[in-house]
Order: sequence, then C-alpha cells, then structure tokens
Amino acid sequence: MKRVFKECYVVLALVLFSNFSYGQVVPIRYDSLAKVTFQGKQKKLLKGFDSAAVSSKIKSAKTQLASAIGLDKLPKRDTDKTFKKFAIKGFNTEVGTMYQSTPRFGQKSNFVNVVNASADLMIYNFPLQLDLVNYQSQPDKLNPLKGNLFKFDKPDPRRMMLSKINEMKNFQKNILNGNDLKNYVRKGIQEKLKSNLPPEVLQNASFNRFINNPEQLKKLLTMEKANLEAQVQLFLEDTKKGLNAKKTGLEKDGQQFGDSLIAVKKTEITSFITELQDDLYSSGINENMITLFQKMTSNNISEKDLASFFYQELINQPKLSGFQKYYSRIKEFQVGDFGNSLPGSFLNRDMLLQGFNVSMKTTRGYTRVGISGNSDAGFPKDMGLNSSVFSIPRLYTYLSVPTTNFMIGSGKLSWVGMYDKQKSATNFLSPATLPKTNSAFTLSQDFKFQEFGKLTLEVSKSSTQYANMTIITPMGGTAISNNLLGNYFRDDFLQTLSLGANHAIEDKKTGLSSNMFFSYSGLGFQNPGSQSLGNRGMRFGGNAKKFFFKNKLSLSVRGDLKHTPINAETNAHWANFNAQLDSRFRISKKTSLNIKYIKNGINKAGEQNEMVYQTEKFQADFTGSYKLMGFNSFSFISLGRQNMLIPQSTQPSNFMSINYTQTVLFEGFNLSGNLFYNKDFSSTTLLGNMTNADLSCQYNLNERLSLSSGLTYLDNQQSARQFGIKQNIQLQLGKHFDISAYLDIRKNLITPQFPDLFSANRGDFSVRYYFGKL
Amino acid sequence: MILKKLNCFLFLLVFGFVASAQTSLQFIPEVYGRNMDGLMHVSIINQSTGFNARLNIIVTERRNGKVVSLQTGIFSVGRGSTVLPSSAARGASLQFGSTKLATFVQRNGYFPEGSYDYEFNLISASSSSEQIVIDQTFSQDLAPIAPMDLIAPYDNEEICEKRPLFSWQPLIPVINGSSYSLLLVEVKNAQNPVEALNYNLPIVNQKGIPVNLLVFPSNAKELQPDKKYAWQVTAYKDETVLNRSEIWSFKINCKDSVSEILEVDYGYRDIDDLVKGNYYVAEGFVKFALVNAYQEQRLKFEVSCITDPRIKVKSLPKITLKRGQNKIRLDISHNNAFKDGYSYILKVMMPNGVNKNLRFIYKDTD
Repeated sequence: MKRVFKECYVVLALVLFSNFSYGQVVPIRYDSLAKVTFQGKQKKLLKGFDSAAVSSKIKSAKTQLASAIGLDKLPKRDTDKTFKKFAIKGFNTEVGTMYQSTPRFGQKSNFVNVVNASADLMIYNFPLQLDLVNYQSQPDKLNPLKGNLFKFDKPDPRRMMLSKINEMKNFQKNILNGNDLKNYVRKGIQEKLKSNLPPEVLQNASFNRFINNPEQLKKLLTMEKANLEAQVQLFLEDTKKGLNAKKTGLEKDGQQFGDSLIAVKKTEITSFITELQDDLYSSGINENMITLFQKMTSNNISEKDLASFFYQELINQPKLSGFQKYYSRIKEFQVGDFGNSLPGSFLNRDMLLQGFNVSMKTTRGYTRVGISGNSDAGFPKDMGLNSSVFSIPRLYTYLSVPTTNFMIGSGKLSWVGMYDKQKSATNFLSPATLPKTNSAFTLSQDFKFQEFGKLTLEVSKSSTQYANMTIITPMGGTAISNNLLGNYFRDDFLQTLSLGANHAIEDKKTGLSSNMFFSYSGLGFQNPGSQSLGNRGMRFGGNAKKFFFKNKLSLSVRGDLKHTPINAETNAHWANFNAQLDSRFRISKKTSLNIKYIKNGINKAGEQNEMVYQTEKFQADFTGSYKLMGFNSFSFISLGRQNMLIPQSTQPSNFMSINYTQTVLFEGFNLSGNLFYNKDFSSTTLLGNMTNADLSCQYNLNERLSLSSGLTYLDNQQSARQFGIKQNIQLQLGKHFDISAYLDIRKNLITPQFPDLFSANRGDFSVRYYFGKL
Repeated sequence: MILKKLNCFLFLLVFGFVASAQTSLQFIPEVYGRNMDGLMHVSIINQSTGFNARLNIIVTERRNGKVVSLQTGIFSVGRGSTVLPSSAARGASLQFGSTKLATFVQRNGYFPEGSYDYEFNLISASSSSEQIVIDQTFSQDLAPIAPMDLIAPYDNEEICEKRPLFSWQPLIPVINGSSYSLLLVEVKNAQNPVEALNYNLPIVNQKGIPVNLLVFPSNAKELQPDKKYAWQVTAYKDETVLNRSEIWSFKINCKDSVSEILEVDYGYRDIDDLVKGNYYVAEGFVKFALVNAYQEQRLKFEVSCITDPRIKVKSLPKITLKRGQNKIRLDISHNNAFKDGYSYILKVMMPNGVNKNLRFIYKDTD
C-alpha cells in the first residue's frame, strides 16, 4: 500500500514537472508519522483560469514538489512506520588538504590532510550521529591507520530538525510574506471582512480569542471543511450580534450584515483558510507541527520546543520498546573521542575525552556518568608535538547525581576520579608516569531569585595519592602517608578544600546580562577536572553587558583574575589579570563605532609585587556601508595603539596598527581590499614596521562557478618582503557536491628571517559531498 | 637527519655526564624537572652490552633539603638509547620529605619555586651484586609555569575583522628555545570548540611564532562572516608541549553594516501576487517582477508613508524597464524616510497605464 502511495507521489510530481499548465497540486497531507491522507480537494484540480494566481500556485507547487521528490526528501519518507535495525538518514563527507611550504632547510612542509565523514544513523530507532576523521599531518609518515578519531553522539535536535526548519522558513517568507502565522490568519480574515462593512467589525472578541489561543489556532487550521464553515458561521453571527448590540449609529450596519452577506463572507473566509491549509500540508507542515510553526514565525521558538517536538515524534513511533521510550530522557550520549567538561566545578572547561559519557533525566534532575581517557600530546592536530609537561595521560571515572530539586533551585553531588594512564606502544619518546590517583567530591546548589538571577554555590574536597608512597618523619623514620588507606577527610581538610560561587543574571527589561564567579582553593587542592595544574588558588572574574538608548549603545566589561600558588611556604603566586572594556555605538542605520580598552598582565605577587608582563591597548573600529558612485560599498577601519612589556626585555614595546577593509559591489563582480599596517615606535620591536596588503576581485563565471583572483604584497622591513598572486575557485556541482580550491603563491624579495612565519606558498583544497539532512 | 644527530651530540655535551666510558643519562631539568612525572623523562645512552638496572632519583631543594626520593622497578638497559619504560615507573616506590615543600609536591605533583638538585643513580641489578653505574646530578632554579591566557579576540566575542590580530600572554617563566604555535579552525554546526580543533582542517596552523602576537597569516584565506572559529595557543620546545592556553572561540559579524552583502535572494514574485497578498514585509528592499510589453522606459512609481503621512519619501532609485520580464529590486535600506515597522504604499504606474498599489511594512535589515 505504502509503495503504491510512493509511486503515485513520484508520478504526480513528474507530471507537474513536465509543465502541466493549468493544474493545481492535489494537496497531500503528509506527515513524518506516515499518515499519508489525501485531503480530497480534487475538485480544485482544474479550478478556474485565473492565470496569475494559477501560475504562481504552480510555481510554488513545483518548488515544493521538486524538494519533495529530491534526494533530500527520500530519507525522510523512510521514517515511515517501518522498523529498521539500522538506517542511514543523512551522509556528509569532506576531504580537505592544506599545504604550506616552509623554505627553511631541512624543515618539513606544513601539510594537513583531513578526511571527515559524518552520518545521521537510526540504530534500533535511536537517532545517533556518527563523526569520523582521518587526520594526517606529517607527509613522510602517512598512515591511514593512525590519526583516526570517531564520535557517536546524540544528535542535536536542531540539527535533526534543520530541513524542517528551512521548509518552515521558506513558507513564512514565500507564502506568509514574512508574517507571523497568527497575524497572517488574522489579517487575512480581517481583509475579507473589511470590504462592505464598518471597521468595528474587526473588533470581534470571540474571533480574537480564537486566534490568540495557539491550541484554537491549530484547531482552525486543521478543521475539515464542513466544521470550518460551521465555525466561521459562528464567528460571523457573533460579529453581527456585536454590531447590533452597539445601537448607536450602527444599527443600520448590523442590518446590512444580513444572511446573504454572511454567506458570501463565510465562503470567502473558509476558502482563505482552506487554501492556507492546502499550502501548509503541501509544504509538509502537518497538524502536529502547526503550534511549532506558529512559535517559529513569531520568533518565539526555543531549543526545548524543538527537542520536545523531535522526541514526541520519536515516541509516537510504533514498535518502540519500553527502553527506547527512555530516549527522550537522555540528555547526553557520547561514545568515542568527544569534547565535554567533567562534572564538578563550574570552572571546568571542555576537553577532548575518549570513552563514553551519558547524562539522563531522573526524578530530581540529571544523573551523569562516564569513563573517559584524556591525553595531551601526540594528537595529529599538534603536528609532531609528541610529549607534554602540561598534562599527563589519564583516565577519568565520574558520577554526578542530583541531590535537591526545590522550587528555589536544584543541587547535585559529583565525584570525579582520575588515574594516571600509561601510554604504551607509541612510536615516540613516551614519558612514563608515576602511578597516582586524584579524586574530588563536589557539592553544588543553585538558588534562583527571579529578577536577581541565579546563584550557584559549591564546595569541593580533593585527595591526591601516589602509589607505594611513604613519608620521612621529622624524626628521620618513615611512615605511611596519613591520607592513605581511605582517610579521605583527614588530609589537612582546609588545605584540600575549594569553595566557589557563581552568579548569573539576564534581565531583558533593563538590557543587563552578567555572569560573575569566585573560587578559592587551598594550597593542596587538586581539581581533577582541570587538564593542567589542578591547583588554581583564587579565581575571580566575570562579564557584564548592558544596552542603552534602545540598543544604540552597548557597554560590556570583562575581567579575570587568577592566582596560581608557586611557593609552598609563602603566599607567593602568579597573578594573571585581564580587563576589557568594550563599547559599541550605532551611529546611524549603517554605521557603527566600537571602542575597546584592554589591560592585561602577569605579576609575581606575594611579599613583594613584581610585574613580569603587561600590555595595554586602545582600539577603535569603524564600520560603515554606503553608496560609492552609486555602488554599494562597505568599509571597516580599525586603529589600535598598544604597548607591551615582555619578560625578555626591559623596555616596553610601543606600536600602532591599522586594519582597513574596503569592499565595493559592482554589477556582476565585487572588488575588495585589505590593508594591515603596523608601526613600531620603540626600540623593542615585536611586529616591526609591517605592511600587509591584498586586493581581490570576486566574480561568478556562471551559476555554479565563482572565482576570486587577487594580488598580495607584504613588507616587514628586514624580516620579509614578498609579493604574489592568489586565486580562489568554488564550484557547485549539482545539489550535493562542491569543490573549492585556494592557492596563494608568493615570491620572496629578501630571504625571510622567520621562514615559518612567512611561507611562500599555500594551497587549500576541499571536496564536499552531502546527502540527506546534514 | 644530520640535524638530529647534531642535536643528540649537543644534548650529550650539555646535559649528559659521562659516568663511565660507555653509559650516560639525558635529562633536561629546565623542561622536565618541573613535575614528578617529568622525572621519568630520562633516557639512558649505553654503548656496551645490555644489562638490568633500576634508577634511584633524589630531588633536594637547597633550603628545604630532601623533597622526594624514588626508586623505579627493574628494567633492562639495551645498547643505544633506552627510555625509562612504563613498567619501571609503575613499580616505583616514593618517599617524600616532611617539609611544607615536600607536602606541596606530594599533593600537587609539581615543584614550587626553588633551587633543585636532581640526583640520578643508575644501579645495575644483577642477581649477584648491585653496582652504581651512573651517579649524575643536574641543578636547576625554577618556578612553576604561570597560566597562559588568551587576550584577543575575547572568548565568544563578535568581531568584524576578517584578518584579526591574535594576542595572548607569554610563557612565564621564559624558557630558552621555546616558541608558540597557534591553531585556528572553523567550528561547524553542533560541534564544540574542542572537537572542532581535533576534527577540522585548520585555517591557521602556525608554528614557530617567536612572540605572543600573531598577525593573521597573509597567505591564509580570510575568515567568513557569520562563521564561528575556535583557537588555541601552545608553547613548546622541540617536540614537547610546555603550556597551553584555554580554547576560545569568536564569531565574525559585521551585520550592523553589511546587510547588502549578506542579503539572501528569496526570489521575485509577480507584482500582481503581491498586491493581492497581505502586508508585504520589505527588509531593506522591495522586490517584485513585472512584465513590460512596451518599449524600454523609465518605471514610474512613488512611495508614501501610511504610519506617518508627514514623512516625505524622496531620493528613490531610478529604474529603467526593459522589454519583457523585469525583476525590480528597490534598494531603500539607505533612505532615512524608511523607518523600522512603519507601513508604506508603493504606487506603481504600470506600462499599460494601470496603477498598482503595494502595501508593505519596512523592516531594518539588522
């Protein structure tokens, strides 16, 4: 049966493709749950010969059907009731190569070849996303068995819904003329009522109630014709009553709104709505999607809406076992080489983990569990950096469980255990590591204060332990460490404790958003969730942004202070600080000014304060678009003045840089140029006097082939002087295939002082094939 | 190859201490003397026949005395270069001092500031006797490495520069012979920046940067509007990572001013359709198609504002109609008479003399 429908569908599409001039699409109510039902609108097939309307209908129907029978639609139809153990819903592959010559004698060229493959899979009706990469960065050691990473991930609902969202956006743009669905319906009905009737007719309370309620709106747009007519009749009679009730001056109008007029208006309004229904269905927006669509058109859609719709669709699938219904409860499901942060401190940052991670919704909140490895060196992206003193290879196990779920906020308890992981069988000098464990319990609690934002408090206790460890007592004997044998809480409690607070607020009314954090750790606290030194002493920082004058001006402040202990006996520490002030003015519709101030440095603080490094920068950016000799043009100018004292020097370096971009859009081609100029004012030069310029012309040879050709010039005093050409080609082959190539060839006018920095040739090449939703 | 050999020779000359005519140790305290695991980064050069051995390492700080001593498990030293194997490290026993400094090292795994002596004893461990083959001490004044933070572009910032200047804090303390590498990649949909760095083809993968600043490499492709990028800086020496920054991301966005460049073509609908429809929304442009069956001529049209009739709409673009199908794109984005959210009527005098009134709402493009 289903096959017959599919064939009918394709035949119908083919017929319309072959210029079936005065037909109209038979709307097919199609939804992803495979409820394929004809709407029985055949009588419209040869309805009337209003040439303009019909031709535009055909056009839009063609577009819709073209996409309906296109390859991108085929996988969607596979989501029918069929149950498959394994199905590929979308596939995307990309091969990219980057080459950069490094002229220094004996130095390897900079070469990277990356083969990516990504697929949306259904495994036992679980949607899963698979990413694979083969990353080769050393041309003399090409080995397809090495440099491979893979990742299974629960797909982002936004990603799974991407084709649907695009369909909806096109519908809003083309059929609703950019309107909100609700407003489109309201205005459409009001238009019909307006003629021959007084303006008061538009103030129909029951009608407005109907339209403003999303459920009722959905009902209206999914009603069968007979019900719809009855509903419209009710509205109209209600409207008439409303008019009659206002005796003064309108009595006549009420009388004028007689049965015959009601019948006319009823037909007009009903046909307006049924046409919209037809358009919706033929665009694949089924009754389950109308509420979602309304939210999307009114820019009110959230990720949660998309996710819940997506899961609802999944749950409604037949043949789901009880376990599969739990899918919607899974927040994270990652296997392979994936990026995530460990539970515990809010300061934990994402790192590349190798293992698995699952987070699932339970009664009180999310429970998270995982076992993952992490290592720092030896990854292909680092191109030959084979060992690391930044971080050692390690294995993590972790568990995070919800504790409280009060009205005021939720809490959780997290445990992270870290073990050293010896890396063996490597082809480089793999540093052995000493057996060590490091674990931490973290208790955190959120407090939500409506307009005062959210406060998170946390307390964490760590323990570090080397295996086979003894301690020399002050008397000269040896003893077992007092935190061995599970004496977790006896190990200088305060020294191995960390406290933290984080406050976030977002107030749309006042245009203020801010996030502040503070954390303090004892001298012996080790946070296993941090990739490098786990001891971080004190951290304080945050950011705040506020809009003024109807978003014409925005001010933002960002700051960060880090104290890292460096001495076991004194309070000596590194103090890294960073403060940035950023202001953006919208001068006019098309011009804006951005002024920025940065102060950043590292001090050795403690008994005495010693500045080790410092920089200060003022920057002003101007952007503007305007007409230049009748052509659209765009300019960006950035002026920066910076002084910097680096540890290797006693004199600060002082320099000014200008970054200028100009684009002019001519008929059929664009011209754009970039100029970077740096001027050093002091004897301590960092960048040196430098001019770096390019000019390029972008043009399309045909719809598929776009090109850009340019000239380049670089002058960095005695360090380097080059000129050259660059060429970029982009070729779109069909709907699913594109190729792009970029080449930059330069001639050295003098021998570069830092050949790594000023390579003479660079080429990028990529081929991309995509199929399905990706 | 020649360079590698030369390097080995230099190592021997500088760091290696020839204990016996045939056996020596390689250890770089400035790099590997910073943490406990670094102590395992020692290699043994042996010119004679292989033997079994274990390694005793004693670390002392000049003011605080003994910090830690450790004894590895037994491993075999072959001819040539031997790296301390994992099994020997795994079987190591450790003995920490009882000073504050020793407790600091015990908990944190790295050495705080101080003047350290690292004494390595390689002891041949045959069944009959134990004999010290090498007794070698390295000295180093050191302080732990400070965090290396990125400066600009700031994390999650939106910038308009397609060739930005990157800056970050330098490696502190200074380690001679170290330099920086910077990796910049595009972050694709649903990726997080960490995954992007490991999975994606780099846009910038620049090694050998001498200072804590990098001008966007002149031969790299410029960054694209509306795309998100992630970057990280690594300080390294030879093949060893010394320090890394956090991974930050930023987005290119010049939307305030480049709406024309970003404009998406949604196609041109016939003016008859638009007139019939409800409320056309003009985002910077009014676009429509019409057929001119007559000769080439200037399109006559005028616009008036409904929301505020006092607004006089002037300086409209001049449009010449060709014979046949014409796609009209009225660029009104720079005209100050058009205000966001206001309604307008466009009155078009069609070539056949018929007037068409198109109502539209103007919306700013940003």
